[in-house]
Amino acid sequence: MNYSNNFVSAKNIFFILLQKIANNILIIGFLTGLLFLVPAAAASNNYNLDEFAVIASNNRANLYFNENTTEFAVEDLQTSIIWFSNPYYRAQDPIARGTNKEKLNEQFALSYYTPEGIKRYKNNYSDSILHEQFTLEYLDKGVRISYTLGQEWRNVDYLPIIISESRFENLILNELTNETDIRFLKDKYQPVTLQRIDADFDRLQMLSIDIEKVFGAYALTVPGEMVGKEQRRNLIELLGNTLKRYRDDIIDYQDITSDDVSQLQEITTYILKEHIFTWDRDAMIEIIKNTSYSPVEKQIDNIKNNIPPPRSTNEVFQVAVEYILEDNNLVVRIPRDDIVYPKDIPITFMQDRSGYITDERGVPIKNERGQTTTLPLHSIELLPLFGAAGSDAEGYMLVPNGSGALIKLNNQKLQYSSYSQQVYGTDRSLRIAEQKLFSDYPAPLPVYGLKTENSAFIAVIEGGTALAHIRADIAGRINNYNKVFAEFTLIPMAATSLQTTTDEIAMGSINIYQSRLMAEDIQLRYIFVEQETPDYVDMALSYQKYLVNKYNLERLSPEQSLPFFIDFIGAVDIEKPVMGAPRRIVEPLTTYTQAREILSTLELGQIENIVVRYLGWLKGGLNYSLPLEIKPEEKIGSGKELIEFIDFLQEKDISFFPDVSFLNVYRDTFFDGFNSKNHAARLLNRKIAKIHEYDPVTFKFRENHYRYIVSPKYALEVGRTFAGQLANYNIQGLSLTHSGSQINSDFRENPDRLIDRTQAQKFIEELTVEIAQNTAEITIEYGNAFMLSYVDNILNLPLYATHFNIIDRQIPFYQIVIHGYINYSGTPINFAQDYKNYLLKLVETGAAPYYKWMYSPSSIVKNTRHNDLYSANYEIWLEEAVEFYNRYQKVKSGLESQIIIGHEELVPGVYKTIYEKGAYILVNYNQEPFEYENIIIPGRDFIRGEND
Amino acid sequence: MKYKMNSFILIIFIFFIIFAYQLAVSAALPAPYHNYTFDFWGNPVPAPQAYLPVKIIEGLDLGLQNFNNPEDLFITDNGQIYVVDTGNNRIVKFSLPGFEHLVFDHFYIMDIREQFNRPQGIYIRNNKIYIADTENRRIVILDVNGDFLRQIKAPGPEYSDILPENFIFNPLKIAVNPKGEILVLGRNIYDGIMLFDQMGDFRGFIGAPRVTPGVEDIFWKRFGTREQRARMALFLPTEYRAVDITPEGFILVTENDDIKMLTPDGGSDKLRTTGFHPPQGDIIDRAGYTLDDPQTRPSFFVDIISRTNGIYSVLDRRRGRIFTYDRSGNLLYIFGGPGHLRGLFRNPVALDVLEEKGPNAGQLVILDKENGRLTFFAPTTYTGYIHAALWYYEQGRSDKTETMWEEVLKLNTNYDLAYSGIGRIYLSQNEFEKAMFHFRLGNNRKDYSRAFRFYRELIIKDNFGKFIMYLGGLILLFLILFKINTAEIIRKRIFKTQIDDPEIFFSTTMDRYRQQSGSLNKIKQTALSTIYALKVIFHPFSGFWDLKHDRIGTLFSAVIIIVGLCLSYVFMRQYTGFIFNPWEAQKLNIYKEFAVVLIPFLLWCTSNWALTTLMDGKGSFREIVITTSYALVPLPLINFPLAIISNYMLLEEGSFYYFFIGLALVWSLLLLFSGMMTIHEFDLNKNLLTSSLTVIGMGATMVIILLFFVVIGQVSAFISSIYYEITFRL
Repeated sequence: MNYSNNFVSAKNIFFILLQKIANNILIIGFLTGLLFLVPAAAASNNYNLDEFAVIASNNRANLYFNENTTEFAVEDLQTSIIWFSNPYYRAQDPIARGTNKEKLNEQFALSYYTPEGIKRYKNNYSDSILHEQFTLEYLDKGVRISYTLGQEWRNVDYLPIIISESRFENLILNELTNETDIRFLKDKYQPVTLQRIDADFDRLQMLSIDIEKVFGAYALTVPGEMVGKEQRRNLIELLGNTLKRYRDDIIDYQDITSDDVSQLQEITTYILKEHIFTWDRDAMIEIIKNTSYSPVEKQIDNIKNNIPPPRSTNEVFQVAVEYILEDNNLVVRIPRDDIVYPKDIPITFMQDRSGYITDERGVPIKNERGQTTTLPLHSIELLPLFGAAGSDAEGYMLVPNGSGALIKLNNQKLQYSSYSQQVYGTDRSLRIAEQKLFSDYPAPLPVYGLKTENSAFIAVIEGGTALAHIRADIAGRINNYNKVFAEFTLIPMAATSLQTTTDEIAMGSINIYQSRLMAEDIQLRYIFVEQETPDYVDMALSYQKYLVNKYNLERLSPEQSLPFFIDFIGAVDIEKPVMGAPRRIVEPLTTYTQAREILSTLELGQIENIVVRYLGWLKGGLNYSLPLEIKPEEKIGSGKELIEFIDFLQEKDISFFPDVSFLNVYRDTFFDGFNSKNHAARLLNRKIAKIHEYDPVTFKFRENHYRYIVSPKYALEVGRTFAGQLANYNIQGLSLTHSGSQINSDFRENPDRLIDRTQAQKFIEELTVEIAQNTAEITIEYGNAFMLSYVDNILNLPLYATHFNIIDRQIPFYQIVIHGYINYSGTPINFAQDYKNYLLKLVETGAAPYYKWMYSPSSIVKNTRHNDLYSANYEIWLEEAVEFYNRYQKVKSGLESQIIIGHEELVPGVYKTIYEKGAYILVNYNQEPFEYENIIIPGRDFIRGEND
Repeated sequence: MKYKMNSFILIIFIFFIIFAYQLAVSAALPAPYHNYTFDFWGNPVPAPQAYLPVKIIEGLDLGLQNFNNPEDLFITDNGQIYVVDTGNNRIVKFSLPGFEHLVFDHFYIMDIREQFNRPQGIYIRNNKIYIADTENRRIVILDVNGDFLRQIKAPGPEYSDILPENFIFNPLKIAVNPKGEILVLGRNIYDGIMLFDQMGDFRGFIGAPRVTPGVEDIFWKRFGTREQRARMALFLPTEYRAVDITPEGFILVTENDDIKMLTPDGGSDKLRTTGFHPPQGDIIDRAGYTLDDPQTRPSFFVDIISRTNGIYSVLDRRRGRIFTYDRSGNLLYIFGGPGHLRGLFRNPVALDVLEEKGPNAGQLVILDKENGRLTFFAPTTYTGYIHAALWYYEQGRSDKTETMWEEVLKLNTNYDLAYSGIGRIYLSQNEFEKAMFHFRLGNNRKDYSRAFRFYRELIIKDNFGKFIMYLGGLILLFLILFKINTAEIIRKRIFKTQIDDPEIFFSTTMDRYRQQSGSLNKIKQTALSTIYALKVIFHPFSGFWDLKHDRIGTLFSAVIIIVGLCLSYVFMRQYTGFIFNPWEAQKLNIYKEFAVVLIPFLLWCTSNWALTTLMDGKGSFREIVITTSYALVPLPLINFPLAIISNYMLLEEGSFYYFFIGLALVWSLLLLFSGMMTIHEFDLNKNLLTSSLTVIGMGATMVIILLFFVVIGQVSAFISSIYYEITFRL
């Protein structure tokens, strides 16, 4: 392949096309601009957009594009704010130097691994635009740019080492017009030839080389010149050194044979001189690059002169990016099918006994069956500088850490590391860390944003979501900009230790890669917040609007009152010695009759909207085996009792969600339809994927405490049969544990059987659809955003964020987005870190009360492996629960179906959450009372206020 | 560290009421660390979070240059926070609400300006600030305004006989006792704590860590070469890392994972260790970690503080955790961890507590050297209840204590201390059954035994008539059995023989059975053979002789005896009374119990057989097996009833229990010895020799077997790793 040639021609054609299109668009743009662009004129006063052309526009926004640098800008006509793909004033950046300065011009950067396992980087500016290796194609509402990153040949591959005079003149010198260049080039080469000599020729004697044997009846001279002995010695040394340098088999002069030099007989040949300065060499390469001499020609020359031909680097990648203006949104897409990375490229040439096999021109032919190389395209950072804010800007970056968090622009926290979190949590099949040092809140939403004084955008990841890391950093590290962006992992990598025993730390480790690219296009959508002075609530509401449109989310009914979530723990398995033999015995914790009793007690406490989840109701209790069919645990009641219980709940209008996970298997027994070899997902090192429990003391995982990760495809199969049986028990709702919190790949080696993370997500969605067809409602945990269109309740929704050092504030972003549409709560109150504090957090974030209860006393699980249920007995919490619900319900009456339109911190520890119709709730975490507009909130309390 | 006068008690009282009922955290951050505590067996078990991070303060937050490798922290009773900012050679003082701060970076001695040089320790008492000015080799005493009062330099040459050679005075940590004496820990000082009196005069070393040589030390000292002995001298006791003074004047010091509480004059260690484990920080189950991973090493305490009610907290640098113990050495709670999040530490060096009344009461403050920041942790509701319960208990208010412990249990059913606390209250109210239930849940054997004593008395008293009746009935039963001569009935009815003389009964009956066939016959044969064991254990020599020569012993009955022995151990583990049963029921593994009996048994038999064959022993392998198993009969015979009886015994009666355990063992060993002597027809000396050689042989066999397994393991690991590598490289 020769890219440069193709490019020249392709580019020419394109330029003509492009100019025509650009002209048309300019005219249209100008006309529309006259009509709509009045405010824009004011805004563009600050910026000189001469280099840009409007390539798409509608009545909400304009898309500007610079054909030379492929940077773009979007102008929001409502706010007349212009968003740049690269900072406008980047040339004045005082911090960025060298490569970092160049990187300010990039639209994306990619990383890949060399066969040695070293991670390398390329970006579309340094490795494509600078070499003019891109083509443009204008689309209906945007543009598509196809980049080729990286060059096939290194610069030195352009420089001939030995070349015959005729080829030197024809291919290089004749194409040069500048006399000095010609002289300069000629000066760096030594012309030589092998001249036939007479018998009485005064032969040179050299110790290290048998001249007679090597040159035979010839002598090495300069053509057309009389040369002295000393100069002849130098010529031989030049030739010898050249051969020595490039030929592996020639270590010393005496290794040179007559075959190696016979091609010089009577042919004038130029040899590159030794000791050429680097700058001279660079200048030579520059000159030669302008001629038709190419590395392919050099291959021909080298082979002719018995020197190994240069090999291409193969570090060439192709990526196409599309920018499309939709309404006032900018959609950025990287089509998966247009991504090309070097895969199984042959790197050796075909050889036989006489040497390289060449085609008719003399170009060596690559050995297709020989050694190959693959350079896995690991990741792409997309638009790392879009909307980046300078060091004087004020505002913050929004990151989807847990409930949502803010990083203040220029917060000076340079001693701490930057923010990076994977969307939807880590892939548990990609066991990166063997240690879990801290508990964290993964990012459930594929959204991030940035706000300055009077402008804000959010970016929603629409494609390749599960592969994205959201990253953010403040100004001052490598450049002077605050930036937040997404990085996509196209081919996940894991290092595996080759040592199979555990007592040696990786003696040698190698990288293993997913066997192909992901299955989905990458797509980002920038939404510009149309507010005069936007804040994070406006950003949340923009995202809410987007979700409502996309998923057709429906508002909750206005009559709905505050839900009261309860988890009942049906049964657990406890290890007990029976006659001395340790046995797993299922111990009922809450039977259906007991659950009924608890619910009746709650009814007396006037709790209205009860939502019940039943955990541990399948055979085996909390640690059930694969749920291929519905097999309820008999110890908590017979099948008939279960149906009666469900009837009872329906009569009382209590929603019921028996809980089941299809994604993890807790127990593998014989003949249960689960065979870990076939049905469990695989890690990249081909081992069976498990989720281990961790030792909290040493952070090591416990070898024998794990659950299997089910291959997503099999999970779908299991879920389908399970869903088909729901009607047998009249089950109207289902709680899907893990579906909202886990997406795990199945890294099988066979590319067709491999399920990458985007596919895994699709399988989970399909599974949910399957369930939704058989039930009325679905409850999930944690709430990864792709499930939002299917679910009615989310439990264990993060109400906090992981407190990375660089984070400045946690905000209830997620809660603002879904309040009024979906019922939710955080972790159970009785397992909160500090429950009194947590009650206030529930009120602040509009979350419903939620308890995890069992009928038996908690001490029953003491000294068992379920000792994490250390505070689950319902009786000790009942009174407080009823009291809190009634107080909270009173404060929140009528607000359940309203959206949150404001959230602010009045003073540290006092928060105000404003609802759609003007009512607001004040929460005071401090001990001292607080007065706000004539309302006094007691310490550690909450109160409702009305704005008319 | 704080010296509280009695008049403060009221304040403390109010403070704890607040603690228990109101003081939860204002707008706390989520805790990023794991929540756990240790149970009786040293397993980590989940527990609610004890403290949550609330605030982080860096130098910038005070409007100062950031802290540079700060080393120490002190908080006074009125909430003044002092940070020793070592890298910046200054002391920063601030108080919370408004961050009003003072910086002490110089002072004047006789109008000469002086500065600190990498100060590392601080203590404040009676409005005097004591600063360890480490590199200036002195202790500086300032008043609260930063004006110079006095300085203490290295002890003079007159002390050279007690000071080590080449002594350099680099004070690191300081504490001042109520008498005003200054205790100093210095760099490279292994002789204990340096004590200076109120006037600054050196008074010598106190509390020198006593070095108790281990067995191997003594061995090397006796047999080692001169070089080896010289190297031993380098194994000095380690330095004390931290020091603090309790309100009573006791001295708390730490040394690696060890905590000591010295008497006020520096005397012996008075630390109470009546908890499940001595205070040592993390208890690490090292099984499975062959690698010397830093994460699996013991804790390393770098600071200690004494708190109210005899509670003390220590800071573990290894894993960035804070452990808190009560005055008896019970672990109260654990929090903290290593890492890069807020609320985690990279290199924590000092901790202190804010104990003044108000919104920040009870907060713990930890100084992180690497991050140069202070992290404030506020107690959760759960921790508030624990402290309140301990406080009420100290005050003798049992009703309140019980309520508090119940609140704790409500939040954490795994909290053993609370069960014990409630149990103690029930005990004082004479509710023995409830007390026993709680002590059992709290794994408190001592108090359980106390409650059980009363309970047992009560039961016996209440049912004295019934008790006497049962006893009488039992005696009557025995008498009747004896009267009607049970043995004769068994002989005549079951084994159908008329021979009365037990000496020949067994042999003749066995002979008879041997000549007949039929499965019932076989069963009778085995039964007879097993019953014979009862004779053997009382008449070993004749018994073993007949066992061999009259071929009464069968392999089948030997197996029955061994299985019975195994079962007796399993039975003991499961059914021994709570007081004498420290085993974890969940971890009972029947295979392991069997292996513990079977492996030594088989080793003994094979090793003995191999040896006696060489040494002209007359016994065959079969005979050795039979004899050995018959010799072990006393063990199950005593174990079974003992396990049952142990349920009715008190801790004080333990000697009785352990006597019988020992009796069974000694009895069996004697039987084994005489049995071997009999079947091999050895004299006493030869039997002694072979027996001891057998034991050595068992050891050698064990080593060879282990070696074999290790080699097999290595080979298989090698092959599998080659296979693994090939699959990836190809």
